[in-house]
Amino acid sequence: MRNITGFIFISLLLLGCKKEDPVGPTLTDLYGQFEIVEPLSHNKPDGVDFTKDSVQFKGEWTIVTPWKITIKGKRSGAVKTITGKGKTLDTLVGVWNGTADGIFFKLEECDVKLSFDNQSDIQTSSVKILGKHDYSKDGYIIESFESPITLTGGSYTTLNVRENTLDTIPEGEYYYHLEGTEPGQAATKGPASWFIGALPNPFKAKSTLGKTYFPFKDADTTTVYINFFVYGYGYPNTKILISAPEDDNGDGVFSSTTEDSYGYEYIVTSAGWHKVSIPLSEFSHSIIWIDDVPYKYGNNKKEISKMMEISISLVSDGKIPSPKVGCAIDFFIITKGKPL
Amino acid sequence: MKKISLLFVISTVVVAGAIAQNPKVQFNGVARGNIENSWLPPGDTTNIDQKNKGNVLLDLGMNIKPNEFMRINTTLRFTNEFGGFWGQGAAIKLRNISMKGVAGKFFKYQLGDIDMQMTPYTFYNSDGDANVNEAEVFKTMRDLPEEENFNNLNSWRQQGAHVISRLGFDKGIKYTDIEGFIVRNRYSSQSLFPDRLQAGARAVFNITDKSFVGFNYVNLFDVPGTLPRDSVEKLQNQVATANFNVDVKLFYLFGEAGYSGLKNQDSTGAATTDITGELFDMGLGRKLFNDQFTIEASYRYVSDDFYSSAAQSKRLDYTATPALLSSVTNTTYTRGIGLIDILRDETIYNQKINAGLMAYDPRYNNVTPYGKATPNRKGYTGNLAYKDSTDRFATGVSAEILTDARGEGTESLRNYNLVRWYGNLNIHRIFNLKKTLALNGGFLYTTTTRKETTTIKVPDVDFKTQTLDLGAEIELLKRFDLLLGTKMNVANGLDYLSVRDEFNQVTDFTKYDIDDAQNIYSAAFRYRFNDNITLKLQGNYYEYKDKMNSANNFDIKQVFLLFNMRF
Repeated sequence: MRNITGFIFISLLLLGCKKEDPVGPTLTDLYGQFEIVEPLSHNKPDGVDFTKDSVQFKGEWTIVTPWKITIKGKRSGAVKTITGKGKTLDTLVGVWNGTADGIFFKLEECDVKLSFDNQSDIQTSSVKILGKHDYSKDGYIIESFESPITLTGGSYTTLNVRENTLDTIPEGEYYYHLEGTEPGQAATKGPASWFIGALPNPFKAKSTLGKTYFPFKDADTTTVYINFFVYGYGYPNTKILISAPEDDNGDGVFSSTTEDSYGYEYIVTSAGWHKVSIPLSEFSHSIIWIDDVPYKYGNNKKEISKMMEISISLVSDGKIPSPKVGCAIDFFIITKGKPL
Repeated sequence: MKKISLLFVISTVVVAGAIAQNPKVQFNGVARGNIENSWLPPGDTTNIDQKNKGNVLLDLGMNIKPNEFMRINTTLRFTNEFGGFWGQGAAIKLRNISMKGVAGKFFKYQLGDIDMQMTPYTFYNSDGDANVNEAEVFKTMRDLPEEENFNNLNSWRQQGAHVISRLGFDKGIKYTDIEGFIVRNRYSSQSLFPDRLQAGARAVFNITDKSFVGFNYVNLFDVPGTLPRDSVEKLQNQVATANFNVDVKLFYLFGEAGYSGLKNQDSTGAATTDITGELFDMGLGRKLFNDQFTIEASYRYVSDDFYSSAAQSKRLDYTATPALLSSVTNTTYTRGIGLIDILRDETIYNQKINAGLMAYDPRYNNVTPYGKATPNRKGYTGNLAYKDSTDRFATGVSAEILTDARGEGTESLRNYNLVRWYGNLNIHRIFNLKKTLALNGGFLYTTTTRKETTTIKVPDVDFKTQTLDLGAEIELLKRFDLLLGTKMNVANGLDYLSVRDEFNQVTDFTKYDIDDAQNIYSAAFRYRFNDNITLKLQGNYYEYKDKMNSANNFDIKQVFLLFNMRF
């Protein structure tokens, strides 16, 4: 009995003495002293061609902390911000594929800055862009305005020109500049807009993709985006109208009096270039006003799987007279899964 | 094997007494009236400066004996908040109801509200914080929120069923108590989560009046079928232990050992959590000088993954906001729970057994915040206690020298030291005075340390707390007492507190760096009409000092008049 008791006692003591790995995250990762172990660098010291490559940033430090890489183009002024949390950049998070937060990078030298939350250390580097990111792989480019093009104007259009005079250009070397006047309109029922200009042809799935409809699924309405850049000159009452008719009956032809059309009016407010991304879920059913009577045609169901084309036009708010309406636009692209 | 004749013994003294008495309905209860005024210092120009409140309540208890084998206990509460006259503030609530009785002279049962308690590792409501033999003036304060929350010694008030039976033996074992219970821990809520029940059983084999061997089992579990959808999400926490207290020659051996299991399965039935932990606690003791002097020493190991919901749930909810003047100083910050709230605020008390480890305040006890069942502790405990047989004085000191059982965030282990002293001096008994003159005191000192080693590049853990209780009870005139008391708590240093997910897994650490002090000074005049009726006028002064940021300093003054009657 005494031996058994002693055996049990010793066994239990040994149980209490076994060494195990510590629980929880490593304290040094959380609260240790911050030190740079490996300074900021990347794998493209001679430059990067984003048409076929990407940049892997490298760096290591002693504690887990939020970090931020800021890349700024010296010529374009484009900015890309990459953020993460950890002890190293040598992961998928620390990869740059040439995209930008706003206006796009050009073939240029870029300054790279690595900073940390609650730490004063800043690491710097530079990257040379030898080839720009190919956005045609990210979605369906509607129009980039790099090739000569003239938009369709209207009676009140005063300026309708492809330009490159602004200090910054979002993509490539050209953008499009449209302006007009807004004569105003007597009070009437329903909205009234004056046409200023539009892309000469709708962006059709048939001509660009060889298919009747765009390859969208109805379930992806919230994750399919129309993206573009717009430059406001500070003129009020300027709207970009995007329309997307649907072939409800599947006959390959859109009928405006029997089938759905959805649209979005983007009101240009601020001055300067802005990147705009609108999910198709925010498009609303188009209303046709006939003799001051609103009409909604179609089955009233948003079915982006039946979208055949996208039209883009510049209009004004017809109720308020304005001597000038207008804006500059650049790079229209449809993306799936996430905004540009 | 010799034949053992079994005797079925009924241990319900009250039932036996009731049989002798005859009346079918008996009344008892508590009547209480309270008027209270609390205020912040004049320099506070931002917050609400004063709070007045008062109420009168009557807890009317009824013991109904429909027959000799059954009793029904119920308590109705009639309450009226001051300022709510003409019935506008009045309320009638059912405070508790239970039925108990004896079935077939074989087992005793209870249905409804039950007070459950087993061992410190299985089903146990550990004592409240910041109490190291506190003064009478504080005891009578703390009694109210503890009574409001049904804190009866170390039991948990639950709702369910409880049965107990006692078997007597002629030889070997003197008698065996067998009990079982099932209680509801949580109601299912629409489609969100299922019912949660807790069941347990215990068998105690009493060898002599003092020696026993016991087996204990508790299981907290979800019932997925109580959701209106096909769900198999289920949490389960089981604890099984064996405990004993055995006389061996001049000493007695005591101990408990067992394991715990925490399992969870998600909606697909896949096991997302499956954790087992273990504990053992063993010691020996000796009583000397006609049991006046007790000395004990023990060793315990509680693994870091030992989880026992009913033993580790805390009496206080440290995530609650105090009800009394919670916004303080001209920076209008919301103060945390302080000494004055622990003594007076019933809203911060917790009645629920929680599946996960609850938040605790390291200032009051960073060594054993969940009592003996605190996970991730191993080490030695020693107790010395002396109580004079004529109740003239009593004193005791206990020490715990513990370490982590497993490193947290690092391989190095924390070292924990706890020293507790208490002393009571009944001067009136020493000098045979006619009027009561008693002094009492208590002191708790804890340290938590972890030294930097080559593997650690973080600051050392070095955290100390001190809690002091001093009190005096002076009978000025017959039945007219002056009660004095002071309670102080000082905490300073640095530790890294674990942040845990719903399954108690450590996911993060927060830096806890503090240097503060709290004091509460109280004085009261109490008139005892008799042993059951008292009238007390008390003043409290509570101050908090943050030595790292004096802008957080504040104080609260309080005066209240309390009438309390039991019948």
